[in-house]
Amino acid sequence: MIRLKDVTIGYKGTEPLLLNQSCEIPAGTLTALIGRNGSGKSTLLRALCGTQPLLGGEILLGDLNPAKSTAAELASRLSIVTTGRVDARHMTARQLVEMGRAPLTGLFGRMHAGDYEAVDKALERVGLSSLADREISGLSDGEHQRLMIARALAQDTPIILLDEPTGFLDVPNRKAVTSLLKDLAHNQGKTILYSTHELDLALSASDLILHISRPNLMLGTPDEVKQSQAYIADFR
Amino acid sequence: MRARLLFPLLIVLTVGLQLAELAFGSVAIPLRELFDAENASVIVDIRLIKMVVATLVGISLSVSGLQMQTLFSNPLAGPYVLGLSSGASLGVALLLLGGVAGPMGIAGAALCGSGVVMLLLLGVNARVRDGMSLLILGIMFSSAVGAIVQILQFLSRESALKSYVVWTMGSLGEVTWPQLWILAGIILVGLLIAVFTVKDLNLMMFGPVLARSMGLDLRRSRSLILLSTTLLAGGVTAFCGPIGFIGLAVPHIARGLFRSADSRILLPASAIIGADILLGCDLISRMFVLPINSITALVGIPVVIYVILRK
Repeated sequence: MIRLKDVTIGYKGTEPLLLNQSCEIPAGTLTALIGRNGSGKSTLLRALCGTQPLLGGEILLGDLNPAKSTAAELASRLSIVTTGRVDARHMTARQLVEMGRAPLTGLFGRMHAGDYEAVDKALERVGLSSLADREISGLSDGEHQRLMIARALAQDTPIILLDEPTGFLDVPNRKAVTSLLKDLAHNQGKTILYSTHELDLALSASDLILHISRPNLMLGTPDEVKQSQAYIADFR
Repeated sequence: MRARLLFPLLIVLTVGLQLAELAFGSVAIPLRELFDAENASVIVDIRLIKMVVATLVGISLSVSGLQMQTLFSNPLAGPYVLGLSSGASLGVALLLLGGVAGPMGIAGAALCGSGVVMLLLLGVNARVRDGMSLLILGIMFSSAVGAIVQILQFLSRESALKSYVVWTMGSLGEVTWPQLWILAGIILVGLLIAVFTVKDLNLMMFGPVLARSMGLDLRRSRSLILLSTTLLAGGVTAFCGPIGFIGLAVPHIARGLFRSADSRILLPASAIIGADILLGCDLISRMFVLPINSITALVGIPVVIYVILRK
């Protein structure tokens, strides 16, 4: 569950990106974060990670306030997926996913039976078990993106944030990633929020849409959002 | 597993090279007379020290190079990328060229110089957000210090200039027993920090945003790694002068040989390979009576060229 209470976000000396906005994204849903370029999607995601200071209000991830938490506390609540590729020569797909267990392992990252099990499950979930021992440099962009999602799954957090997870992907891969996310939200009860510019796909595949239209935030079902004034003003 | 086979092999190679270090020199001493009493002074006071120094230097520079390459996600980073050697050389230049006296001679001056650079970097680290800014600031410090050293060189007398230039060529043979204990102590602390931040290095491969999301306290980790590198590379530079290209090249050899991206393997691998290569370089430099720095450059540069061309 992600809750925003009277949140104001922005940069000093400019109009705020969000002004006194509140909403609550329930667990077990896939929510798409949409908005024009520069509307503040990335800034909002950073605020959720605790790296963007709020000008007002409060964010709660379950019962945790990201602005007041350490990286270690946050890592138990929230995992993130970004678009960039990991550039590490000789790293295998399995090793990449294993790093997701880092917050749960000790000082030297020693893995135990439960950790290996979580990694195997995560790989299976994204359909990459057969490529587990391949080096990541040889994977396609779509496979790499699914692998990064598996890493987030291995981290075993109730909330997953994804910053344009379908950005570099072709249409079949976009659909595959989105339906994978939907499956995870519905069948594992995770709260998944992803930013995207793919309006059609977002509207058809997500449970909820979070639309930033400066300085307002609207959370609703795809149909509700589609008919809103702000959506029509932004995208029609 | 590859590592199971390679580690014992490399350790045997290290011991072999260490014995060769003891046996070869201006007076050749056959292996079976190595431990005779009449050879003790040559062996213990000259060659044993040099052997230990070469091993420590190889380990330190390579581990430090691995840290810097990972910290900055840059395959061409090395121990000196943040200006540690410039700091050390400023200390030495002030002593030799500027006539500023200090305790412990050249080593003390170089240590102070590296220490100042590290304090500056730690101060800056608390203020900048990302590694790239830190890297650029490190290069800026290093260039500024280089400029000051140049002024000192320009203004100084010829004899002083020569002793400075000789220091910049590097030498493993100037260390005395008491100094060796200090050097070993500094390196031990540096290595301990390196070992305890090995998981941090693995996380840093994912970039700052993801590393943080997996629980890494970036500022703390960066500070610890900077401290470790300063002790390792700064310590070595203080006692042996700046020794180039080992720290840059060895981590790549370790990656290629062990086919791994895991710092928990690469750290010990780099340490052993670094020791082997430095012992080898020292044997060559002794055979032809050449400065160690030119040998390490000639060995290290082809590796660096290979890394660039392979891409």
